[in-house]
Amino acid sequence: MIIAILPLILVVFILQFALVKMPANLFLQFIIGAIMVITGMVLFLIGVDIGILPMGKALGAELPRRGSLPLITGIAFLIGFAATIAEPDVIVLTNQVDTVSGGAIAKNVLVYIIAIGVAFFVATAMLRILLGFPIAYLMAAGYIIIIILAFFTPVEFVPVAFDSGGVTTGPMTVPIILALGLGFSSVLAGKSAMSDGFGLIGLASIGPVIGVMVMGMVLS
Amino acid sequence: MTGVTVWDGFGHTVLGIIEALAPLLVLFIIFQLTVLKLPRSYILNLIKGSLLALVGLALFLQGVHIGFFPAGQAIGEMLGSIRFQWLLIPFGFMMGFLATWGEPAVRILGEQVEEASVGSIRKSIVLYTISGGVALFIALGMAKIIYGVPLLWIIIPGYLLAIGMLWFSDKSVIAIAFDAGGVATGPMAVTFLMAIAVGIASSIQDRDPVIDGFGLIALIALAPILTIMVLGLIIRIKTRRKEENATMAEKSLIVSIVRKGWGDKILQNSCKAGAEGGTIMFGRGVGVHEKQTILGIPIEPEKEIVLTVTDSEETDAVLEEIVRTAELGKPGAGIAFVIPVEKVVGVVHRSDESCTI
Repeated sequence: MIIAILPLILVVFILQFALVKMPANLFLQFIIGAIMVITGMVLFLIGVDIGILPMGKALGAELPRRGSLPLITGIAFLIGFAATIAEPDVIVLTNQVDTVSGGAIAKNVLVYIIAIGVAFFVATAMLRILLGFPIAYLMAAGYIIIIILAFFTPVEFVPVAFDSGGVTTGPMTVPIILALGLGFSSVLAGKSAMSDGFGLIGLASIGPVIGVMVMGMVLS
Repeated sequence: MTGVTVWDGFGHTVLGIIEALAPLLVLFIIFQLTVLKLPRSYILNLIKGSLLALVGLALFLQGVHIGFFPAGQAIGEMLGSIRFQWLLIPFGFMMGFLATWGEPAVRILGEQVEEASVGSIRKSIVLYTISGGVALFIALGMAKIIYGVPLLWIIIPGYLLAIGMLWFSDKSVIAIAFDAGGVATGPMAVTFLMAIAVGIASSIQDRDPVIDGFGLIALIALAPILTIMVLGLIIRIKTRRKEENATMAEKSLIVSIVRKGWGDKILQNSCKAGAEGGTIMFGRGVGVHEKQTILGIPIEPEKEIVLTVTDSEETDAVLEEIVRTAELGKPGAGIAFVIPVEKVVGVVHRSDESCTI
C-alpha cells in the first residue's frame, strides 16, 4: 500500500520544489493528509478483507440455494445499493461535484441516483448469471443506450454522468460485488467461475451513467 | 503553522461514513438472523473488520479532504497557468500510470484474474496493461481540458470501439476487461487526478470546471476496457499459434508384442530408424496361430512388449523397421499397433546424440 502510493507522493514533492511551490501550510497539510490516506486505506482494506468481504461471500454462496428468482434479484439489488452508498470513491466524487457546481448538483441526490443505478445493474447481472444470458449483449445494449442518451443530456451533466459510472467501483463495491458474483456462479453448477462471476463490475458502472443522465434531463 | 487544519470537519466525515456503512450492516444483520446463522466467532471477526473499515475510511476521507483535494487543486491551478500547456499531456501520462499502478483494487483484480485463470493470465501483465491504458487516456484527458474538446468526442468513439471488439473477444476476456474498467478508478485516481483536473480547468480561461474538469474518471474507466480487450486478442492469437505448433509435433506410441527374446533387437533397430528409445516389458499371451499344448494342457507363450514413443512423421519408418526385424509378416510372430499420444513429458530431444543400445 505504501509502495503503491509512494510514486504519487514523490511526484508531488518534485513538483512542489521544482514548479508549483504551494504555500507551506498547504504542503504540510498535504503531507499529513497523505499519511492519513495511507493509514486509512490500509485499515480500510484490512477491514474489508476480514469483515466485509466474508459477508459478501457468505451471502453470495447462500442466497441461490435458498431463495426464489425474484427474491435473489431483490436482495442483489439491496446489496448493490448498500455497498455503493458506502463506497469511498462515490463519497469523494459527489462531495467534489457538489462543491465545484456550487450545490447545483446536490451531493445526496447524486449518491442515491448512483446507488440505484448500480443496484439495478447488479440485479440484472445476477439474472444474467442465473439465466445464462451472454454478457456481451448486456454490455452492448447498455452502452448503446448510454450513447443515445448522451445526445439528449444537458452538457453540464455529461461529464458527471460518465464519471459516476467510473467511481461506483472502488475498494468497497469491487470486493463485495465480485464476491457476490463468484459465490453465485460457483454455487450454480455448470457455470465457470471465470466467465460468469466477472463482468458484474463492468455492468455495475453502466447503471449510474444512465441514472445521472436521466437525472440531468429531468432537472433541466 | 498557521492555517494547518487537520481535523476540520472530521465529525461530519465520521457521521457521513456511519450513514454510508449502515445500510450494508443492517442488511447483513437481517440475513444473519433469518437465513445465514453463521457461528458467533465468525460474526465477531466480521464486526472487528467492519469497525476497522469504518475507522480506515474516516481517516482516508479526512486525509483526502484536508490534503489531497486542496493540494491537487493547487497543483492543477498552477499547472493550468504554465506557458507550455502541451507539457500537461506527458505529465498526465506519467500521473495516470503512477496512480493506477498504485491502485489497490487493480491489484485485487489482478490476483483474482490470475487465480481464476489458473495462472494463464499473470497478475503483473494485468497490472501493466491497465496502468498503460489509463496513462494513455489521462494524456488524452489533459488534451481535452487544454483544448476544450467535448468529452463525448472521445468517449463515444471509445465506447463504439469497445462494442465492436466485443464480437471478437472471448467471453472471459470481455468480463475481465469491463471489470478492469471499473477497478482502475479507485480512490487514488479519483481523489488526486480529479482534483488536479478540476484545478486545471478552473485556471484556464473559457473552461468550465463542471464541464471540462470532470470526465477524467470516465476516461480512466474506458482505458482498461480497450487495452485488456486488445491484450485478450493478442493472447488469443498467440495461443492459437501455439496450438498449431503443438499439432505439428504430435507423437505416437508404437506397441509391438513379439516373441520372447526379440525385444532387444527391435529396440536397436527402431533406434536406427529414428526412434528415441523404447521400453521392454515382459508378458504372456496367445494368438490363434500359436496355440500350444503340453500333455493336453494349453500353455501361454511368453512375450515381450516394446513401447516406443516417436514423432508422428517418424512413426511409419520405425514401424516398418519393427515389422521387418520381428518378422511380423509371418503368422504367430506377434503384432504391432500405433496409438496417438496426447501429451509426452520427459522426452529430451536428441539433436546430436543418438540412442546407444
